[in-house]
Amino acid sequence: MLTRAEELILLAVWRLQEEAYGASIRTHLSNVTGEDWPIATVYTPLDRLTRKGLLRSRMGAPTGGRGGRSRKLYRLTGDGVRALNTARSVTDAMWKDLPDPGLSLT
Amino acid sequence: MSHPPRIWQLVLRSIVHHSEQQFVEGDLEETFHEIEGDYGSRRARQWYRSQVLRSIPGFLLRTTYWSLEMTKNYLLLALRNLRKSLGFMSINITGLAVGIACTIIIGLFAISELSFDTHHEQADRIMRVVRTSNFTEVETRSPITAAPLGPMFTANFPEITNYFRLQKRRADIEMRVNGRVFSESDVYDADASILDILNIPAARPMTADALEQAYRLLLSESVAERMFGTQDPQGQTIQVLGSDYVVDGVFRDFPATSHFRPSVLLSFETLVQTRPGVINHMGNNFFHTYLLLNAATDRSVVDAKFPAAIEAVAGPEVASRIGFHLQPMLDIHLHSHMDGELEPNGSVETLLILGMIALFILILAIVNFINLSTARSARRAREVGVRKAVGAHRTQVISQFLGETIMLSALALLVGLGMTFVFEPIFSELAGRPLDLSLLVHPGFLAGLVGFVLFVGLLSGFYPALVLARFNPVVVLKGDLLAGQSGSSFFRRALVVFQFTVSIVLIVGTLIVNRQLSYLQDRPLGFDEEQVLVTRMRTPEMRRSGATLISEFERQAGVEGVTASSSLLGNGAGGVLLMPEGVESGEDGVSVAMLHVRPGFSDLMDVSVLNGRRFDPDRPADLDEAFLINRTAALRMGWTASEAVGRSIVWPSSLDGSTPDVMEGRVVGVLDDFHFQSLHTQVEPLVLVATADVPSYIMTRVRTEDLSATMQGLEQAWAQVYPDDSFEAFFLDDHFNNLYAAEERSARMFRLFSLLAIALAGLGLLGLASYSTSRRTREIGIRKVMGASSTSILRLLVSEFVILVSIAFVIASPIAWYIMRGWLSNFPYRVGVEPQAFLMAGAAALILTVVTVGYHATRAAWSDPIETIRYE
Repeated sequence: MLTRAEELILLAVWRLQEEAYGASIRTHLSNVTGEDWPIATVYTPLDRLTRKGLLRSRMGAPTGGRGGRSRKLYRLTGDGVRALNTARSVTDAMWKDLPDPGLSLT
Repeated sequence: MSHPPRIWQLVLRSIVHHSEQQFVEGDLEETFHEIEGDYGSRRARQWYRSQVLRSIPGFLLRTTYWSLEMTKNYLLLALRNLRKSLGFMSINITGLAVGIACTIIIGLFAISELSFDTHHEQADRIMRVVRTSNFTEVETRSPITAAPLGPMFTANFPEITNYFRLQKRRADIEMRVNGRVFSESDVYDADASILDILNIPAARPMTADALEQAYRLLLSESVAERMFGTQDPQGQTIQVLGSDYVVDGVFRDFPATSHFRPSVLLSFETLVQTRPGVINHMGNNFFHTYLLLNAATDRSVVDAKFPAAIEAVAGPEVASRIGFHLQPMLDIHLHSHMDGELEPNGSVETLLILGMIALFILILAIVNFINLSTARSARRAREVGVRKAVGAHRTQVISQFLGETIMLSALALLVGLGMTFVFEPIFSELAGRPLDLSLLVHPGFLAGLVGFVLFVGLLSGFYPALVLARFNPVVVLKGDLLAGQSGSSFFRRALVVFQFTVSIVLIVGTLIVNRQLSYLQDRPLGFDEEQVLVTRMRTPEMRRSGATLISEFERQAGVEGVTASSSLLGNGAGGVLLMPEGVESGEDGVSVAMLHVRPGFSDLMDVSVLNGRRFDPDRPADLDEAFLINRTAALRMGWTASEAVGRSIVWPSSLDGSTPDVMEGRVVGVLDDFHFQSLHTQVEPLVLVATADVPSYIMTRVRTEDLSATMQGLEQAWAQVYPDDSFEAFFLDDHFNNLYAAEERSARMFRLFSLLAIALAGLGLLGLASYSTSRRTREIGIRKVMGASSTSILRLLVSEFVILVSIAFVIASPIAWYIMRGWLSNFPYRVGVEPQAFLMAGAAALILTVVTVGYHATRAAWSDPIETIRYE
């Protein structure tokens, strides 16, 4: 099972595609959640996901604006895609046919 | 565009593992510029700071994780390495451990030597009075003084606030408790003030007036336990030498670091009441006098006042011959070596030499460790090459190797500490007292150990780490492993030379110290000291019935003869001033040592006569007008041995007034020099005077057969004459051997440590030989294929080390010669620094080399060349 942070990060990597690296993932997550994510909280799950084989990383070419430093780019593996699908179906199943979630604010 | 705040960038760099630094920093900088573009640089800097701050816990965790992961890997490699070269590593670790154990033990010994008597709170203000007398040309110093000195000095000098006197009973004292008999050594007479001046904690409550009254005593805890078990002995009665004493209390045993350790303290007041003659007389030097100075006083102030005080009491003549000075109690153990010390003291020279040996052994061990670590690391060049090829940093390689050597040195430390506990009893036996191992857990000491581990680890890892980290991976992987190793092989050779230099110096030193010791013990003393039983007349009262005792002794079976002298042979003799023929005034007299003896003394002690005759018991006139002098005395008086006989000598009167007789007589014979002092001093001029009285020391020559029956007979004879006093006796040759206890102790320590140093050097050599032969395996194979014989290869391998050891021998010889000549110059009677010692040391080093190197070399030389050339 993925943690919430892992799930969010996988989704971010999927959305950002070729442009998925630390800074872009962090910015995206911060924008979506409205919280400023510390960079360390992005890298820790990224590493864990890489070790689990859900992500693959490679070093990208250095680009401007980074003081000539290269980026570490991430991409979903097949397992990663499957894990996301599983997570989604679990979430859907959990939400499906709730009698009255009672969660609406009305 | 501005730059992210540099200080926070630095913080970031310090918490992020270097493998991640690049892209993490890049990520943050990129976002920083974006924010800067949207909201301005102030906002961006704020954001950057908060990012770094909030990321600290996360990154720290990750960094730790990474380094743990790497450490796990390094540890695994280190362990594999350890297992792969187990023999090599255990040599390495054992060597360092032995060095550490030696250093710790010698360190503990040094601490205990330096802490003698420091447990007394007022220790730095307590002084012992030393009496100097220059009756003979050599000034003699003695701690043995007369009883009235203490009270007199305390009364007259405001700087001196208190005093106590001590007398050590020479032989074991018999004590009767409720019908049981105990024999106690280390029995002292002491003033009650000893309790105020020294710190003598009570083990059980003492009476308020402890030791103040006559016939009172204090027991040490261990004696009290032996005599009374768990019962409190206070108020109990103990019979000491026939008199009843009441126990005032029990004191804790003196620590081993005390220059005297009484087991029983008898009240000095007893002596004051029973022997007023001894106590009140300035001429009876029997006691050790200790003074307590007030806090502000320097001892030189008091020293300066002594001459005037002596002159006022005894007149200018005495003052010119006798002097006093103060010796700090704290100096006694390491710096005082007078005749008449309470216990054999340590010596600062021995301590220094031991310290140097410890230092050298430690250096030897560290050198071994560095040497072997470096040699071994060359084998791991390929591992390092692979590591570097897949992206290891230089710093990573260095820290890996440093970590390994630190781990090894920590391991060695643990083994060394274990060895300390194993060796400690052996060393305690040599040192004559236990070492305080509790110092090992002292925080300062522990910190020192940790520091040591880091130091040795870094030192021994630094060189190989640096060399390996510099390796060019391409060159290394191509198989050219040992490029650039020639420099370090010079280094290793120098280390072997150093090790053997130290070892050879130590071997030579040990051999010479041993020879000197046996020389001291075996040198003919000029008289026959074997089978002579000495009994002391402890009081003038006893001496009155001495003649009866002597005739009783002479009647015993197994006794060859009995004589007596005024001083114990080996302890020197009192000085007097004589006026030989032709000298008119006392000022020009000749100072000599004088022994009062029974007429048969020189005959029974087997002192040879150079000219003239001995005292004749049948000529009563010998008692009044005959002198026997030794050869040195004759020379001092300006005569040859043949001229001296018949000359007249006037003995005006003894200078300190203790013997008021005046005697005029002739020299009847000249004796050959004999050692009435220890061999630490040159034979002084000596004059013998015959006496009809019985001087203090009765010497009985006994036959060897059936000694115990003879002893029993003597004891019974004694009991007949002195029913109230116990029989105390010792053998003269034992006494002489005890005079060299300090030398004996140092000799044993030197033996132990030189053995260790040699073992270490051998160990190092063994490791190096195995390394160097294995490195040359292929070379040996090729040589053999080309037609070299096994023996020529053996010669090649061994000669390399033999040359190194020969160089060491050449360096070591003058050093050893210089040091040992200095040491020997302390002794007037000494062996020479002879070439045998050097030859033996050289031979020992050579044999060690051939054996250790030969083992590996033989294996290599006789190996099958096909195997060795194929070896990769």
